Amino acid sequence: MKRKAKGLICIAILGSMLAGCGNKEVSTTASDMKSGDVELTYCVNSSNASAGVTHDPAVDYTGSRSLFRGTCETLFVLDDDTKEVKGFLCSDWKQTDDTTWTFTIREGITFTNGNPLDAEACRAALDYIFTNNTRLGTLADVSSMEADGQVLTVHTNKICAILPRILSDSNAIIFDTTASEDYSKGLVGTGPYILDSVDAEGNCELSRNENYWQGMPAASKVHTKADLSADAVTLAMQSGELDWASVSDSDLKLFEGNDDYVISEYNGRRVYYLYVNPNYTFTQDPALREALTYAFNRQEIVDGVYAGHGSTTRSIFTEDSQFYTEEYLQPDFDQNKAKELLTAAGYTDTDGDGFVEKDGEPVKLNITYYDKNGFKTLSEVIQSQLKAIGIDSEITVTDSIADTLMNGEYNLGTYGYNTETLGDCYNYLQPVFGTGATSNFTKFSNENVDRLLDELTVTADEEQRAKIAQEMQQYLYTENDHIYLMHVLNYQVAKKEVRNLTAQFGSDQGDASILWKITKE
Amino acid sequence: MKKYIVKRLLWIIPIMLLISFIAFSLMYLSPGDPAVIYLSQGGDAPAAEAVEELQQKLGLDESFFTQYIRWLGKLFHGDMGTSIFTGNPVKEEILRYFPNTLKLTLLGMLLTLLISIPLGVLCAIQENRWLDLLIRGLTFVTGSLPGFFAAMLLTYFLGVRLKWLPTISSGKRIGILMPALTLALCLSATYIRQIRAAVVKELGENYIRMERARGLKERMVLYQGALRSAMPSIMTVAGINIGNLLGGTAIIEMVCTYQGMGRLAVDSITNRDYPLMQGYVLVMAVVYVLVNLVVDIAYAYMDPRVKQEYILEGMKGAESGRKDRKNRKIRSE
Amino acid sequence: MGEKTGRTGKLDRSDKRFLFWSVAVLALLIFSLLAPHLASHDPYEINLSLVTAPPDSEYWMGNDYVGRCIFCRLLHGAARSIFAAVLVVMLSFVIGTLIGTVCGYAGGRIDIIVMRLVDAVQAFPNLIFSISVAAMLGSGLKNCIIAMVITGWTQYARLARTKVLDIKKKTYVRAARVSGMSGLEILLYTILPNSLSPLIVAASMHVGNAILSFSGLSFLGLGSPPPYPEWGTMLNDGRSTFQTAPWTILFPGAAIVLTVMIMGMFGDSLNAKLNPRKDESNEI
Repeated sequence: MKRKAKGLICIAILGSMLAGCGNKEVSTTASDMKSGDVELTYCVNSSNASAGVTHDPAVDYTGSRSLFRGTCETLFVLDDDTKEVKGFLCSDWKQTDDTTWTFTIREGITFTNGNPLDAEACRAALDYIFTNNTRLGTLADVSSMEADGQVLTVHTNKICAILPRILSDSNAIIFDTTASEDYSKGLVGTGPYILDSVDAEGNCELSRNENYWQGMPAASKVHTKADLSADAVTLAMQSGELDWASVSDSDLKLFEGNDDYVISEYNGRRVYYLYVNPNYTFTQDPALREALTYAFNRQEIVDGVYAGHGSTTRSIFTEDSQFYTEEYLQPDFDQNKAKELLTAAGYTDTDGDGFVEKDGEPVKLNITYYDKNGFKTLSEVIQSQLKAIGIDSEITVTDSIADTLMNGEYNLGTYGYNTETLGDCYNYLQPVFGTGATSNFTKFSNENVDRLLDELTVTADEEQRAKIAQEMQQYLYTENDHIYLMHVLNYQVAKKEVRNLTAQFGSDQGDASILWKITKE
Repeated sequence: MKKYIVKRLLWIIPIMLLISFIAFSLMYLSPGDPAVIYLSQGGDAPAAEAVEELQQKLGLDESFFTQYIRWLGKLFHGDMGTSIFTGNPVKEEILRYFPNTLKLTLLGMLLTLLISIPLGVLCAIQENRWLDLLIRGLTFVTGSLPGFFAAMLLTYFLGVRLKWLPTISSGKRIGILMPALTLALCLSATYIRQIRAAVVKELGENYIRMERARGLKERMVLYQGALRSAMPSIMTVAGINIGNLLGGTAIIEMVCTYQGMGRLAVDSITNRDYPLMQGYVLVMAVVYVLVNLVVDIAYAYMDPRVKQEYILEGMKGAESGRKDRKNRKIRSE
Repeated sequence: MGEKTGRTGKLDRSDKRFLFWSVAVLALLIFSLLAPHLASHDPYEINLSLVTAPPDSEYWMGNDYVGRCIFCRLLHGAARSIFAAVLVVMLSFVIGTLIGTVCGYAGGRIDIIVMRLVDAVQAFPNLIFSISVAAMLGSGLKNCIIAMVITGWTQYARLARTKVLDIKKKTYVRAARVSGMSGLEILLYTILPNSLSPLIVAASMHVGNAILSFSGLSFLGLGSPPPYPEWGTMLNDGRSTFQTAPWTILFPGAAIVLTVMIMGMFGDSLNAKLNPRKDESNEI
């Protein structure tokens, strides 16, 4: 506590330090939120958001900037635990035929500039986003939209079974398209906070929306910091500049056992895996690829590289996912089996250097990583595990992993992917395994997979979808061109004074509808 | 003199052309396609059509020379292009970041001088006594710290431990202190030693000794005089340093989360943001020429001993890199 | 060089200093070559049960983020880290001096063109230039060296040129010319030897800076690729663990600071010896 007091004195001396930790005028009762002058300071650090300060949802994943700062909201949100779709700005929805959905917009909501939220406003916003944001536009594949009072009718080109899920995307935000010409400087939405100013670096100042439809927002002011590096986030949490942040697993132990902080974990459904390039040098040999599937000690990776903050996996999906099936898994770690397979396929150490040769040629694999998610360390451990089965390797780093994977000069590439974006499997399975699809770096092609993918596009029933995904998995691991290693857990660290915060708030698919309740004691 | 300045300023043009050509070639030859990098930020691979479309939109599908010439043509009309990544005009991005770096550099330099002048003079007074040795010993340590290491240590101790300064420098006005202090820590080593040496030398020189002999007891006056005589060379170095710092603070900016030109440049390289990088190097070329010019002129005015010679030489059109100047300085002594 | 030869007999203070630091630098260089043989463990051996383990009697500098012996990695990295910097300085020195000398001697159009190139490269902030070159060539120690030489030669070129311009006017050069020496001979036997001393001083100062620049490039992930030990990379790797395991950053940091200090002291003493009147005031 002495430290904290000292901190406060310093703040007083230096005058303008952080509002977030400087304002300790605690409200008398937690329920009487308005009387307190709670100010929140945090960083919207969506892992997908790109550089720059724009709020224009046409760009990349920048919608999350408006969503998690509380200026704009979406028609739907996903439940943090079950990943079920919940109506948010949308009160009622149904699929009227294969390609048509109707959405009833919640009554009595206004934008913060006073304009009413009706179906026409939603149509205009979504139309702008679908037209200008390629990713979401392709995903939704909308042909036309009609607005009538509070009812929005959406027609899609193909059968789109999961449109509500797509509309929960952090870029599918509803904003008043008539409020300004330049969306990059900020949007007018229906959220609990109003954007007052954005500075040149992207730090935002927001104040309370007194007419917020869910109730009076808990904080009077919100300050959000521009995108920060993982190191900067940790230091800022320690110095008290941020109220909460998603902290990298390697820094977690700095907060563990410290009563001033609360750590919460959640399963971000991210899988770390290796691409095994079937179209480059030694990994063209299916026998070598098969041997590799036995080569990696996943438990060692989880414990050694990620300090136990995750779980090993031999599947694309986490064990608690409805898409997971025990029936079809990748082989478990078995060093002897890997060695046997190598020897049987003619990989032997003929010159006694400890590494195998094939037909007299020394085998050397290339491991490519990008500097994120602890992949540098992962690569080094992969290298040492390869060494244990007698395979030599070198490590290279790339600025743009997508570029590298597309151009194909690698044997093993580290990758991290959310396999259940929007709570569904299709957004992972289609791009990665569909014949000729965008993220299909290994040129995987299997007609059964393609058939089942098509089935997924037309199946709305969640149970049925899960069954299809499970069935598909029997074909996915046949080429051994992906080696799934682990699912990571994500961590959020918050000051102990913070209330009503959920672990997933601010993450890719986190439920933003709770922001108005977040407060500090 | 006027003619000379104009001539020097005109040199900006060939330097700009050359530097922009070098920068453009470097970026162009780097592996990695800006369109792909831009479209894959979210982690997903982009569709081939989307990449092609963007390439066409940005003109990336054209040949090297066509792209360069087109960029030059636009520049001729005062258009620096649009950043691939942020979509904002390059001019706007630079106007946003340059003042930050300028502020950081000037404040860093001010702090450096505030630290170095008293310590340097103190060392000179205490010449070869323990305090002098201690301070100089310390300067060798601080001067040998890698920039990011120094920034990290300061951030940790001043930010996390003592909580005196915010660890995130952007956003708060006071945030600039952390990177500025880091700069001062790294730079002051050289300055302290230099000021000490200069003052020691000036104190040793005859005319000052005479003054002392005449019974001028105000020691301070002595030191002031010594410092004043040492000032031109110190200011020269400071000037050059300011020029270097404007482009050389990237790492400190990154560690301290300070949004300046250095970070902008590093980001534009990793993102292969050609137009932004081009804009950056142009600004740096102008800064380089201007800083050198200003330093030269200031040096000439502050040190009348070299003024005459300097101007004569300057008129002959000798360009003035720092080494030339250093040499002149040596000769003039 | 031969500016100060008249003195005989006892060594004066600057000579002693110079001798001391020369021996220190020599010792450092020899040590860095022998160091790998002193290592007690395999510097590449990953031991995930010892991740960031504190120093103990077996691993007396502790273990890094994958449980490797920090002490052994420091020893193995010494040659790599120090000689990379030395190589940068040597290459820059040779290339820069040659180009600068030729420019200064030949003058005319070549001189103007090359000097504009020097201007352009110097106008490009060093670090940023190195990063662009490394982005083009890819990361790795070899490419970092190339990148740093591309920026490094300019200072020698400029220095050499100025010095040559100076010397050209001197009587002994005129004498040599009158005596019928060819241009190349004059360059090699009279001009070059007489212009070397400021260049050598600059080079001695450059080594320490080069080591610091390497650590900067390592910070940006452009340095030595894993798993090879290099001090800058080790220091950078310790960034994420320095709070919980200070030894991961302390020892590589100390190694760098110590080396840069020794190099700096050596440069200083060399400067003091070659330019005795100017003491330390020359250093920029």
